Amino acid sequence: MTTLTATAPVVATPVPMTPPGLTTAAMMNVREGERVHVTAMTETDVLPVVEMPDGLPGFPDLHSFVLVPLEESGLIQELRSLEDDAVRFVVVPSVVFYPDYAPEIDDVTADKLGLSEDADTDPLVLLVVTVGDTLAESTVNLLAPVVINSSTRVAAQVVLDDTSLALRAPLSL
Amino acid sequence: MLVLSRRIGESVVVGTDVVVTILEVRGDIVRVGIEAPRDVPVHRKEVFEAIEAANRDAASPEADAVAALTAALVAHKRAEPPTV
Repeated sequence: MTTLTATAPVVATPVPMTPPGLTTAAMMNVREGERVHVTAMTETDVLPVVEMPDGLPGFPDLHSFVLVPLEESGLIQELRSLEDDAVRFVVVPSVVFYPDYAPEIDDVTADKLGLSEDADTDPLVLLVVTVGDTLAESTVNLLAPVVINSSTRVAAQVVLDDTSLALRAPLSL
Repeated sequence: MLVLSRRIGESVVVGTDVVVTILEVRGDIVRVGIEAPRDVPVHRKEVFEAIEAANRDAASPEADAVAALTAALVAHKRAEPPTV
């Protein structure tokens, strides 16, 4: 459990905080600049905003998200839109489920995300999950990972050139 | 749809800053080079549409299904801790 965070820096580092005068319900997705108050699991946390300048394919108009942990170790998270409450994506860190997965990101995208030639910037690579009725029926998208610059929180769903990568690969541990 | 005939090495300009160049024609495969500003994403259409469809399928799953999946993953992980 501890080694997970070393290889997969979890962007959503919860900072427990309860501003006075706000109830939990009122704090759902209350944005304050680069951070947002969200109800994560049972607590209200202050989480960083993830900006996706290009949106996601199919959702081009949604640009601001928050990465909300669904359990303590960062094994499974939810990317929630701050602009449309109804839009959420379940995501998992690729390093846990596909440790050998090493997507090649084109230069333009790497530049956009500020990842070029900056060895200090370790991107977080998340796979979008299509949740099925069971674990075995749930799949992840290897063709278009969500890549987050963990320093700037700028992200993109990168359409990879390698079209042999599966759009619906098994979510297996 | 505007239809133009082009030879290898010739280009088409779209707007003021997108240039599409025909690089090679071999049988029914045409290789094109596309120069576009970085804020203009360029994708193979069928790939992009497949990802759009996958995203729509993946978006906003039922809360119960998410809870069940989370529980299954946590249980799986307890049974088999990652060796990383």
